[in-house]
Amino acid sequence: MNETFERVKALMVGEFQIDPASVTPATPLTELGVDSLAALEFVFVLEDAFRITIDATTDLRGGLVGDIVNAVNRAQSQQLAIAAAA
Amino acid sequence: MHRVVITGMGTITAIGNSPAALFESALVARSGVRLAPELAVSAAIPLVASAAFDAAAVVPRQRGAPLDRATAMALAAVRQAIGDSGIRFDGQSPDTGIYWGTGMGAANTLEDSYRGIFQDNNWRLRPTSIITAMNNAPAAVISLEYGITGPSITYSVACASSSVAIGEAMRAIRHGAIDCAIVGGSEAMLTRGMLSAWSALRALATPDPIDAACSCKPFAADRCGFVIGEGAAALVLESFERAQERGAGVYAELAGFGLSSDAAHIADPSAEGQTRAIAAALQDASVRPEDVGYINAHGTATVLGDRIETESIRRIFGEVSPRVAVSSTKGVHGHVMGATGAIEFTIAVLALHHGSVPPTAHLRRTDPSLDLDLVPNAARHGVALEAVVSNSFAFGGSNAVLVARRIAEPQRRSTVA
Repeated sequence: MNETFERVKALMVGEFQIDPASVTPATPLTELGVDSLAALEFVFVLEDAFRITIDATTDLRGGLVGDIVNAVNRAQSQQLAIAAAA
Repeated sequence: MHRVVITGMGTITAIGNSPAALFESALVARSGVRLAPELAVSAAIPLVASAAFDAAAVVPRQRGAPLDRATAMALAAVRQAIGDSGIRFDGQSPDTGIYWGTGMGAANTLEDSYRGIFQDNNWRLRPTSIITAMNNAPAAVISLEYGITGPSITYSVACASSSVAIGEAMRAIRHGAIDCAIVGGSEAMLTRGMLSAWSALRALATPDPIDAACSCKPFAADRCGFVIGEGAAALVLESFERAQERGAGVYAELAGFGLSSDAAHIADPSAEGQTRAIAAALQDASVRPEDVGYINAHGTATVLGDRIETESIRRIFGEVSPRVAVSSTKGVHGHVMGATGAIEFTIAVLALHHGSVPPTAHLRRTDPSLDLDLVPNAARHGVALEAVVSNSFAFGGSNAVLVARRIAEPQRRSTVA
């Protein structure tokens, strides 16, 4: 969680030009001024940075920073499982 | 019928990111045209008139979809114009409309997307591609930013787009449908694909061998076409009563609008169609040809275009045509397509306001068959202007002409943004 969180936080700070101190796992995206469309776009940033594919059904809109971290972790484990099966 | 006045202006162009900077550059014929090797697709280096403008700085990334460059320019110009007008939009504004023009819409976003798909084989398009690229994005973003809840309409009439938008808004205010309008146009199509397509049409200027900045030479004997520019211009229109009520300073009255279609050729201009549009605009404004002191010509510096426009002006202005100053400012700010009408109308209004006529730049050798007063190379100051005209003639044969008239002293504003 911690390592993923730190990377997600760094990406958010870079993408949205926000104060790093304001980003915690419990921070709602709305509190950071990240609206629904910006959250949709951020999925792209995550996919490129982590080299993952986030499930299309995952909806980050209106969630917490922690939800993003969980989505990244979930995508990474799914990818590992697929790699192991192959 | 309500009279319509102009109470605010804003611009982003290759020769200045404010109306004052734009007008100053136009007066001294400071060209924004340059060679753009970064946009070349072959050995031929294209010419552009690009604006010094950071689109990413316009809206924070947390908010909504990313803006196409043209939309960002639109919003930046509108912020200037609304600030200049002194209007404060608090909450809902159903009596205000947005009338916007664009020719090609979000050319940068479209080209980036297609590059991803066809060049990089990346079919993963950004989730906000549609919202960013739709042609009405500028009007929508303006409405959102200011809570403007009246009509929001986008006009796409090629090079006449923003002139048509301005004229249609004038009509809506005149007839009382609304009493204020944010009008103008934006265009940002300096992409490799768009430049290649225009180049293939053989309408673009070739680089001047001595100074590339002087490549677009309207009305010159050695004219060879235009240079594509980018930018936006926004104006605030209000009914005269509303402007008076709030004590707003007024630049000029938007007095007339004429519109016609050639129905003759998809690309070649027609003196018949242009003449009908100019005549209709003057009649609409109740302005006689002898009252017009300045015409900002469409003047694209194509061999045929400048000849036909000269013929149209001569047909309408007849005996008085030698006394009407005519200039094309495209040689310095480029041809800004859907935004060009609004940019050039802004210049015409500032000419009226200041009594200074901008020159036709790079006019070393006038084509002797174009027998108008073309204001070659040097501005004229201290000119008493009563009315000015701005011509916009589009591919597709659409002609749009705007007329602005001087406003009486008490309502006239003393300063310019």
